[in-house]
Amino acid sequence: MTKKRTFLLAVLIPLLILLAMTIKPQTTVLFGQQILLETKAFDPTDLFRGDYVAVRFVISDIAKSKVSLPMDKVSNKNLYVSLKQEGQYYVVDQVSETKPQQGVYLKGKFQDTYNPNGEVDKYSVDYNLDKYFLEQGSGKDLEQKSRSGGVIVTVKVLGGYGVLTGITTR
Amino acid sequence: MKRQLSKANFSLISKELEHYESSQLITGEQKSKILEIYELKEGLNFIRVVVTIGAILVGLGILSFISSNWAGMSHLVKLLIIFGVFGGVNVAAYLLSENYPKTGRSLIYLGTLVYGAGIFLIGQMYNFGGEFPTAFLLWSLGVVPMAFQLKDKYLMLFANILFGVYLNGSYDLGFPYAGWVGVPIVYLAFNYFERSKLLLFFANLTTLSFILQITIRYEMKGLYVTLIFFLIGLLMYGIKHTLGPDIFRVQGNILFGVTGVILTFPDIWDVLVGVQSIRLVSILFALAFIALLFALIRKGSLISLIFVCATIFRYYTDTFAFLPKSLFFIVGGLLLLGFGYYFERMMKTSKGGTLA
Repeated sequence: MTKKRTFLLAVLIPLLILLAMTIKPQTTVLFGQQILLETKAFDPTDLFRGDYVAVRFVISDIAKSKVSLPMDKVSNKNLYVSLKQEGQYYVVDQVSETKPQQGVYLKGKFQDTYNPNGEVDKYSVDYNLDKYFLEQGSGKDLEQKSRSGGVIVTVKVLGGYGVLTGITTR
Repeated sequence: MKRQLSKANFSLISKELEHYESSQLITGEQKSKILEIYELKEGLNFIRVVVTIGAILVGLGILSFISSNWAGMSHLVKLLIIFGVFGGVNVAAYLLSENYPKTGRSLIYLGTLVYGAGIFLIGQMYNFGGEFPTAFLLWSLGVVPMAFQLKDKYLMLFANILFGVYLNGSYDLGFPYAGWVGVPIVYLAFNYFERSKLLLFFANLTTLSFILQITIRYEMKGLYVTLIFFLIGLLMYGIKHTLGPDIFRVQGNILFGVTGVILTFPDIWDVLVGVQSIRLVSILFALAFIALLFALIRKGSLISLIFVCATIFRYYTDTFAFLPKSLFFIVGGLLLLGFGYYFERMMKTSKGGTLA
C-alpha cells in the first residue's frame, strides 16, 4: 500500500468509528417506540460531555416479588424488563431471561438492593439511561422543579435498547 | 549508525578529548575521528513545541465547546462541523507534511483531539448513560492507526494513555475484554517505535492495570492481590532480559516496594492466618522485606532506600505506645549501626568489595 493510501486509511478509521457509534442510537430514535417514564433528577457535570440531568426511573426499582426467576439468575445479570402502559406512563410488567417476542421491553443490569434488615427485597436495574445532557447552566432549573414534582422522560425503545430523547417536568 | 548524544554529553566528551590532545595522549586526527562517531540527539525543537501546544489548545477548546452543549447550534450541525474540521486538518496536514513537517504534525495532533470531541458529542446527542469509559477505548482505537502510519511515538503514547483510562474506568461495565488485544498491541508498538523507553514505561503500566482489573473481576482478596503484585514487582526487578531492562527494574522496584509496605500492615493478613497471629506474620514479613531492601541497597538501589524509610515511618506512626516504640527503634537503630561498623571494618581489612 502506498503511503498516501495508508494515510487515508488512518484518517478514515476514526471517521468510520464515529459513524458506527451513531447507527444503533439513530435507528432507535428514528424507528423506536416512544414511551414516557417517571423519574427523579439532579444536575451534575461530566468533564467531557458537560452538564447533565442525572435521572433515575421509577422502573429502576423492581420488587423481588415481581421477578419469578431464582436470585442467582438475577443478581449482576442482564435481563429483559417488559413494560406495559398504565395511564400516561410505562411501568414494569414482567422480567425475563430471553428477549420477549412482542411488546415494549428494555435490557438492564440487575443488582441486589438490601433493606435495613439486610435482606434483598428489591432489585436495582441499570438501563444505561441515567444521563440527559443539557446546555451548561440550564439544568439547575430542572433540578429545582424536580424536587417539587418529578421529571418525565421520553425514551425511544427499539429491541431492548433505549435512547433518552426528551425531558420535561410534570 | 552514529551514536546519539545529548548536547551536554557531547560537549563534555569534546572538552575531555581536547584535554587528552593537549596532554598529548591522542593526536588531533584521533580526536576528530572519535568525535565523528557521535551525533547530537535532536532535542526539544522550539517551533515543534509552539505548534504542538497551539494544536492542543485548539483541540481542548473544541472539546470544551462540545461540553458546553451550546443550544444555539443543533447536534447535527455540530457533528458536521466535527467531521469537516477532522477531514480538513488531516488534508492540510498531509499537504503540509512535505514542506512544513512540524506544523503538519501538529495538525494531525489537533485532528485526534477533534475526533475525541466527536465521540463525546455523539455520547451527548444520544444521552449515553453510565460513565462512558468506552469513549476512551474508541478514542484510543482511532488514534492507533495514525500513530503507526506516521511512526509517531507521542501519538502512540496518547493512545496508550487513553487505553489505560478505559481499563481503569470500566469497573461498572463488565470485564474489559479489549485488554486481551490492547496489551499485546502496546508492546508491539514499543517494538515498532524503535523501542522507545517512554512507550515501554506506559505499556507496563497498562499491563499492570489490566492485571489489577482481572483480580478485581475475580473478587480476589486484598492480600492475594497485593501478594501477586509484590511477586510481579520482584520478577520485573529480577529477571534478566534485553527488553528495556532499566525501565523494568525501576517499575519492579517501585511496585514491590509499595506492595511490600502494604503487606507490613497486620490487618491485611487475616484471610490467611488467624486473627491472633496476624501481627506476628506481618512483622516476620516486614523483617524479611527490610532484609531484602538492604541487600538491594548494597547493590546500589536508591529506590529501595526510599522504601526502607517508608517502612520505618509506617511503624513510627503506627502506634502511640511510645515506650515499646522507643525500645524497638533504639534496638533496631543500634543493630544497623553495629552492622554498618562491622561491614566498614571488614572492608578495611580485606580491601575488597564495593558498597555502592
